[in-house]
Amino acid sequence: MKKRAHPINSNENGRAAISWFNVLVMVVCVGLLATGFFFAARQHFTAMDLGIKNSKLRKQVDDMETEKRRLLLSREVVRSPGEVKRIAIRHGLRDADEIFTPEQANAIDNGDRSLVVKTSLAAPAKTNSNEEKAVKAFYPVSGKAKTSPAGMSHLDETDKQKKVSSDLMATTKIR
Amino acid sequence: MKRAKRHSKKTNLRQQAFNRFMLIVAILVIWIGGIGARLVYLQVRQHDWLRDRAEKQRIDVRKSKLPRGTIFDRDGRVLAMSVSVKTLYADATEIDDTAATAKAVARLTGADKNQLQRVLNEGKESERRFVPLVRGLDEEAAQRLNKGLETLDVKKADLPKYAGLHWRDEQTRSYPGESLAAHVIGFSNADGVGQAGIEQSQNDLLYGAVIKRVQERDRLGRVYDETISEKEPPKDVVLTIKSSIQYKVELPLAEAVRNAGAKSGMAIVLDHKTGEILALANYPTFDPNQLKSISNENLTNRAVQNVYSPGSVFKLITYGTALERNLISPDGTIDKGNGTIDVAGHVFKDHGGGGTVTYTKALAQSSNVSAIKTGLKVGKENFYSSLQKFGFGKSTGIELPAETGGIVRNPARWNGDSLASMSIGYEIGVTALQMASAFATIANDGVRIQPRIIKEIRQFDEKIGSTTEPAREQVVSAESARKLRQMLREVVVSGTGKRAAVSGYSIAGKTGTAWKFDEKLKRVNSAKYMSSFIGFAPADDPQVTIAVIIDEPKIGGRDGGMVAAPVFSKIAEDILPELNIRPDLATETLVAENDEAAQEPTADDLFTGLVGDEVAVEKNIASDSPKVERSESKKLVVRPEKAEEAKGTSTPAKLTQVKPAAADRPRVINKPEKGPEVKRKT
Repeated sequence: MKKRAHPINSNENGRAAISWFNVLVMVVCVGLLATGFFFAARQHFTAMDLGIKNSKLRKQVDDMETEKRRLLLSREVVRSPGEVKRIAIRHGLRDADEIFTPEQANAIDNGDRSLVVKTSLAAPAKTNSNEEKAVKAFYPVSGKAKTSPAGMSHLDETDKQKKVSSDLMATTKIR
Repeated sequence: MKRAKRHSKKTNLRQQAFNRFMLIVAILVIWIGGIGARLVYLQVRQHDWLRDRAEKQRIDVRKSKLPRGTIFDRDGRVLAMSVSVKTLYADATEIDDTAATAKAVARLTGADKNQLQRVLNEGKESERRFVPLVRGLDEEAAQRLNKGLETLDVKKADLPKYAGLHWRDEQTRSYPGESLAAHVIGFSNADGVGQAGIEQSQNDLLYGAVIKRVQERDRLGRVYDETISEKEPPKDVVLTIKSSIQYKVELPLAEAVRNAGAKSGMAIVLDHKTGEILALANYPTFDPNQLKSISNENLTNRAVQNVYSPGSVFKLITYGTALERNLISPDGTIDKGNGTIDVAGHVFKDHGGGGTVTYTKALAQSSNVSAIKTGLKVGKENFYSSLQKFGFGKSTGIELPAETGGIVRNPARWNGDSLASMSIGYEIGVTALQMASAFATIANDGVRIQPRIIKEIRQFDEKIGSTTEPAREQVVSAESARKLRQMLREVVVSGTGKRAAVSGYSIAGKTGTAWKFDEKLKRVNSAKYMSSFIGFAPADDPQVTIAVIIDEPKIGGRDGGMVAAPVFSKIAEDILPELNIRPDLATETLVAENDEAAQEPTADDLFTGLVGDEVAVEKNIASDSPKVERSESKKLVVRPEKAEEAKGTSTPAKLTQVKPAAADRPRVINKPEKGPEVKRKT
């Protein structure tokens, strides 16, 4: 019967011989592997963390965009002519047609100033009697009008100046 | 012997060790084999099921729609915008206790608990996975609900932390101006598809594409990776409309339609130098925010979709063509005869009687006989060619849906009296926009510029994507256009359009009163009018063209001079200062109480309408005022020969306008300006 070859190197006493070099290599390999795993795990969790932060920031950007749109829309709603009119009415302003009787309108058209009270934004209108008098109030323009250039490019100029149009006229009641 | 025994013992130990080792190996092999078999079973046989389960746990696929593009006016003011809103919905299959869920939601939203429970029960019975509970909430309200609904023992990846409840992102389209320019803007339906106006015609640009977000989540439900399927974001559309002008056009138009008991009204303000439409209004109108209340009739953008016989305003084309071909001159005379004319057995009458008048006077009086005679002078082919040049019979190309081209028959199909009828605006169908465009052509020295309503298309990053360059065509010579403008000026000064006058500004235009064709009677109905006034200002150097058309006025005067001209006047009075167009006529002050405060006004003061703190009422002396011209420096210059007259009638304190004095307002004509009397159907 053929003798089985012993797989382990043995010394003279028959004990297994330990190669310190092999052990060292093994330790280094295991160390490298462990370090690799450690760094990989660290990178994985860092990536996860960054991903989560990124996702949160992205959501914040989306939310901000939505909020910006919502605010822009709210501003436009408040600036819309219908809403401005409603606010004006809430503050006591009335349409000219509502407070001028046909007689008053005709009288004013004919130059009768007794029904019209002088007013300015600098000083409040003065009335001597207790009866209601109609008054036309004008908002002043903030800048001087410019010469009209050719075409409608002047429209843009008007906007840049951001001035209040002279025909922003409101009519109210003064007691 | 001893040695043999020792050897045998050593062999046994080795054998024993080997056996043990093999046993361990066998166990390991069986163990690993078992695991392998199990893995094979799981990964091969149960692959799909496990993959789905894992993906469900880890990957969240969300579909959302990009917000639909915004529509701006020329000043950057929002006319239509989409905003994201949230809908709280229930997956009824995930809810065990519907009563508790309904109670929790009702407590926070103020909704009816019983109704919520009923909806949830119905959903549960039919195993519905989408049962909307609260719609249209903004982010803030959604956060509040999330807090209120938070349940500690519920572990869910998404909010709210309440079993069976979820959020869904949706959009809502808002029109902040309400009915402002509603016919231009149109509206879109719940799916974000344009149904009318710019919303419809530019739907491809505005449409918000659906994007898919693949989110990978960790075991706590936090998103750590997200993949978004890229889609091109929708574009924004910037219109040529100016909101403030649009409002100033809509208001008097609506008032006029209501006061006249009319069926409808249209008004257009056109910058004829660029072809840009500054305002396009229809009345009755609608509020696109309230789709349920919109009636089909109110939806029609009549200014581009409805065809009508223009009547006397069409004389512009007749005289314009004749002037272009040097067949007439403004100061030349025409004999109206006895005020009637017979063309191919069709007798046309003039309401103003007969006699000889200048062509200018004939146009001012809106003489039918003169216009017909002029039309006959022009001839069929020339007239037809002119119609085509002015753009009648074909759509203008404006970026609005369902624009009609009008009706212009080929000369081969004309009757004997067709040319005569067309000379005075019958037997032809036009749209309000086409008519406005024709007047704009004359105002623009004979150059026709294709009207447009889109100024530019903007990318999502606010860069300009595209702009359109309108087509230009010289229709009549600048000289002919100038002569025609002089004639049209006379219409307002002494003719049928006196009520279109505006204090401080020279207005030129033409009235039109056309009988409408009655579908039932199959002929024109003399009880139904289409009254219009189309003109421009200032007459010598036109800056803006305005068209006003009132359909079937019933109360009071019904002709164009009575119904439409005052609306024109009101619109012009309101918008000309806003457009920085200076008054070109001298005006006279009636009242100037505060003389010491009232100083010699500068040209700018004339524009502002306010000097010192006084408000003045003025007299309009437009018709008999000294002629005022503009020098190159745009200063007001009074002609020497008329200056003395001006001095005699005006005070030093020249405050500007409020309204023309009643005494100087054009005389109210109770008798309507009638269209031609038609004895047989046309």
